[in-house]
Amino acid sequence: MSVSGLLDHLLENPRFSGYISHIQKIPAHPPDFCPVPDVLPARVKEWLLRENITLYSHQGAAIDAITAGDDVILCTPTASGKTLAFILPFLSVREDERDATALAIYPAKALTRDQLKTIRELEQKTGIHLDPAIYDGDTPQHDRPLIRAQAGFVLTNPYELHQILPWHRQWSSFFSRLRYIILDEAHQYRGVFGSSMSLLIRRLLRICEHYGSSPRFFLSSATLANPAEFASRLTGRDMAVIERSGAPTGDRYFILYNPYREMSLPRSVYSESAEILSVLVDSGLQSLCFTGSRRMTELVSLWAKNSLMRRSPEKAKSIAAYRAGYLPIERQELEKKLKEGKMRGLVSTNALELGIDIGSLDAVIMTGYPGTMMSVWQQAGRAGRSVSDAMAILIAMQNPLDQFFMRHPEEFFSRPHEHAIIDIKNPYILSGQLLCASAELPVRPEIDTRWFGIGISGQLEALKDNNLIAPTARGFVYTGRRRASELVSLSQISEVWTVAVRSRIIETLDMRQACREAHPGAVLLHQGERYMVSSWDHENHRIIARQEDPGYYTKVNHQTGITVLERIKSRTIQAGTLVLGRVNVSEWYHGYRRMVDEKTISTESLSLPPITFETVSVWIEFSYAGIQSVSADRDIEGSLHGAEHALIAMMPYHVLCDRWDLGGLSTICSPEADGKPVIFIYDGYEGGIGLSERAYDIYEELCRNARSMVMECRCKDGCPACIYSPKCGNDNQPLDKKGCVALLRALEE
Amino acid sequence: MSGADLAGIGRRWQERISASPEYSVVLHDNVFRQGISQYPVQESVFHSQHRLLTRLCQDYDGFSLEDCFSGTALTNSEGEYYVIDSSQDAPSISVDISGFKSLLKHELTLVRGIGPAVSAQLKSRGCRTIDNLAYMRRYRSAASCIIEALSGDSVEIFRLLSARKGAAHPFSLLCSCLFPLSKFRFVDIETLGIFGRPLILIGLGYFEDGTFQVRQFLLRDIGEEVSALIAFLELIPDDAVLVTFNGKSFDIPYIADRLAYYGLPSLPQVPHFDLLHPSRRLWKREISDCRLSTLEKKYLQISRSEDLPGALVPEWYCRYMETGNPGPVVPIVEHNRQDVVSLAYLLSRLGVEWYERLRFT
Repeated sequence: MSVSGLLDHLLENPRFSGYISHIQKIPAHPPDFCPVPDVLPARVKEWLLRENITLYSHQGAAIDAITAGDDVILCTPTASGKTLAFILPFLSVREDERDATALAIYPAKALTRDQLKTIRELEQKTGIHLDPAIYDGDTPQHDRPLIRAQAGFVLTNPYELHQILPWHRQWSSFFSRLRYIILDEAHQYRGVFGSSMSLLIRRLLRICEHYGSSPRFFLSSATLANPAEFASRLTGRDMAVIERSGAPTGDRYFILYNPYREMSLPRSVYSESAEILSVLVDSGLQSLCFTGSRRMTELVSLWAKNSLMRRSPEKAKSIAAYRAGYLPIERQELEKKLKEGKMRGLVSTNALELGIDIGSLDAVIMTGYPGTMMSVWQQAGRAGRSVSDAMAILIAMQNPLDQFFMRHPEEFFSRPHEHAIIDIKNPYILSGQLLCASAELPVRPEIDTRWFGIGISGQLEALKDNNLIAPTARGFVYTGRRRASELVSLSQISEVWTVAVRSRIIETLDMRQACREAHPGAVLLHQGERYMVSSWDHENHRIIARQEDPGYYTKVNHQTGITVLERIKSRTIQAGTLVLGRVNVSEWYHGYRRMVDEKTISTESLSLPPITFETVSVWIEFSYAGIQSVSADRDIEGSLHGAEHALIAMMPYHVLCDRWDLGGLSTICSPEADGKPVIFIYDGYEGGIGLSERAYDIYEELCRNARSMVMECRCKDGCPACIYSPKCGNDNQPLDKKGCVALLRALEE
Repeated sequence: MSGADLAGIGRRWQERISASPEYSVVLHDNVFRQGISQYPVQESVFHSQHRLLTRLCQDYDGFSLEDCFSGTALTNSEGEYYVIDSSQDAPSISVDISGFKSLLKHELTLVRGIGPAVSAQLKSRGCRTIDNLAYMRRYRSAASCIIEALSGDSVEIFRLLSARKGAAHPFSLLCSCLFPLSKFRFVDIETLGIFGRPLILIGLGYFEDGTFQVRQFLLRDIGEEVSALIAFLELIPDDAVLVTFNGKSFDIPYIADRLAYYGLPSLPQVPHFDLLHPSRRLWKREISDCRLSTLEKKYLQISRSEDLPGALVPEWYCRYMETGNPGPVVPIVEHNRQDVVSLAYLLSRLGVEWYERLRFT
């Protein structure tokens, strides 16, 4: 059956049609080819001719830009030939300069294996030697010296690079010949990881300059709303942006499917996914279903198989699960079967979202909004061969953003992608990265501001006062007593806690996450598995857990206190004043609830010390007039509380972040604002990661979307689809939906 | 973020460092637990050292570093540096050169294509030296290469032996007798850590007019590291010969890393005798560990009165940096000087032992 045939089938069948909120047809577009650029080496041109490969316009544009000496960020969809786009320019460089080297940085190890294979093939076919090699934590010690001396194309990841830089003497030859840096899947570098990464790249460039090289950049990324700004923040360079893909696509149908559409007969997101997957496979469409967790991956594949057993048992074997934790050989086997078309339906965690090559499929199912529009299009991009039709189905969960999109398909399909935010001013991250830099080459404030910004002299003084660096005629020299790169983590700011199950480490958390998700007595979810936390080893920062499913889950109760340290900027709004500033947050996790099906079965107390940290916050101070928008019969406290939840819930709509990245506090009488009612929203990381700053800028838009999200929800007094927050420390009490809508309306004016 | 509590951030790093010291104290000196930690310090040693540190800090309170050592401040292009010179009787380093060369001539396995089995076979057939091999059609060209190399200069012989036998082989060590005494540079460094932190003291020993001179470059502050490195580099001529203990893995790469850190020229590529490996080969059945202090006690009749475990050096030097009290540096300097002197005696002893042993096998 064809894709459009199946679409008709779904629409005719009342079992499904009642739940379809919207169908969007994304029209096909033909390929946009370009002639073979002249700069390519003869051997490459011959190869293209021999294999009858025509380049797409974006590949040509990338080659031209790199040849012209520009840095490039390429934002085109999955499977548009990015690898070729970044390799071809380097082949030209390599042809001119036999010993030029390139460094390719991938956010995940699995990607490097896949890419190495592709590059080796290309090397063989064109006869131009690149000597590619992977250099990461798995590279055996005895292979390392040879790779450093001989490799022309090194594939690595940020964590390894962080460890490599202090050893630059051993890499001096490689760095002095470095002409080309590739950052693949660059959109992964955001939040704390992104800020660290941008400074890590500056450390790398500083060392390159020391060895006399100045490499070009090639960034590849998913589509972003702000590629130029993002690239320049990440690398400190202005880049040529290439966004228009020349790769062809067939007609694509995007279905928004809402199991909660019939409130009288709501269905489970997962059983619906399994059911639809089995229908797709039964009608001969090769399909991929993304789920959020390992556990659901297994369950959905099992249910889909069962459902197929009833329909056409001979096909049940062609459905399988694919997730992290499988052996590499099992995964490769699945990838191979999928490419050959033997495997017809695959259920996967987000592991497959990253650019692993599995070929293209007919249909993709997403169980729940994956959190960002960027992921939506990356996942949807897995379906769609160049000529034939394809289908993507988003099955909504019962949470505010999913339900908002079901009611607003036009928002879903027309809106630009999110902004990727990188904050290079976070003083904690900057301080750590300066420590690492000072262990690589002496840091000279008068020159190195070029890499690390003008704010570093104060930072350096503070490090000096703590005997971590020493001033010398050559600059500041690292004198700390532990290896700097060991001390500083790329993905976490505060002290790292590890979760150990039978002395095997399964996860690392920061203190705040640990209190929230892994306090003593908590049921911790890790990749879909449940673990009981038995105790905390404070001395070693270790959390001891065991694998066990007690049949309930836990939610922590906390209280938040905020003191304002500095008002950075403010402006007057209709309802009062909007302020951006530095605050001191203290979160006290004092107890937790054991819950089954959203019902509390018992409440336990916790004796953890409060966590205090300094961060950036945006807050609204209500004037007397502003608060009058809430009519007298409504509860002001509940209205403020609801508005706080709604605003935080809508943040991921605008900015690439998770709602857990933000914290909030609303109070009717804040001593920090002369006793006025206040809503605080703050970055949940020490020093801030730029989210509150962005919220300050897009405030009106944020309020507008929050209001329509709450207002249009059909519940009466608030529900998980609007103003309930899964992370509320007060058990979502009090909440007042009507008052909240009135308040949000006043805020957006 | 402007106006953030930068001092607090700096303090936090320091707290994180102190939360995990670079050595661990082994309670009750339990030898069975010693293997578990990476840098063990026995509890009794830790306490006696702590008492020593307190005493030194009291004794030297109010003194300046220059008062404690009869050193000299010198200046070069990078600024001031501080050296402490001492001299003493030189150990006699004498291996019979012609005897050694004749040993080599009898080592048929130096020739490419000949392993231990073939060598034994050839010897049983009366072919005893490499010179004999040169008359055999099969080995002629390979053997003449070796003969030519062996008649070349000392560096060439050293390279040949390292390549054919490995740098840790006693033959490579015995090569040291081919170099004039004046070329030897005995090197030992003290640092603030295992990797990536400043070195604080470079000890350099050399022979001069029948005496053994030790020149120590001591950093009075970290700013003197560059000038000390340059001054040290000037004393390593291109035809020098380095002698260290575990210097192949530690001292020499460490110095190279520090030179690269400051963008200075690198060390010349010269023959390097690391005494750790030949010592271990020679004595491994007789000793429990192969630390320099263990060898001193057992084979060199050198005993140290108040010796400082290497793991404590960073902490003690940091104490000096923080307080300016030179007390904690005193044992570091003495420890380093003794290490350098022991190197020379160890080389002498190893040469004799290995020569005798090889001669009779």
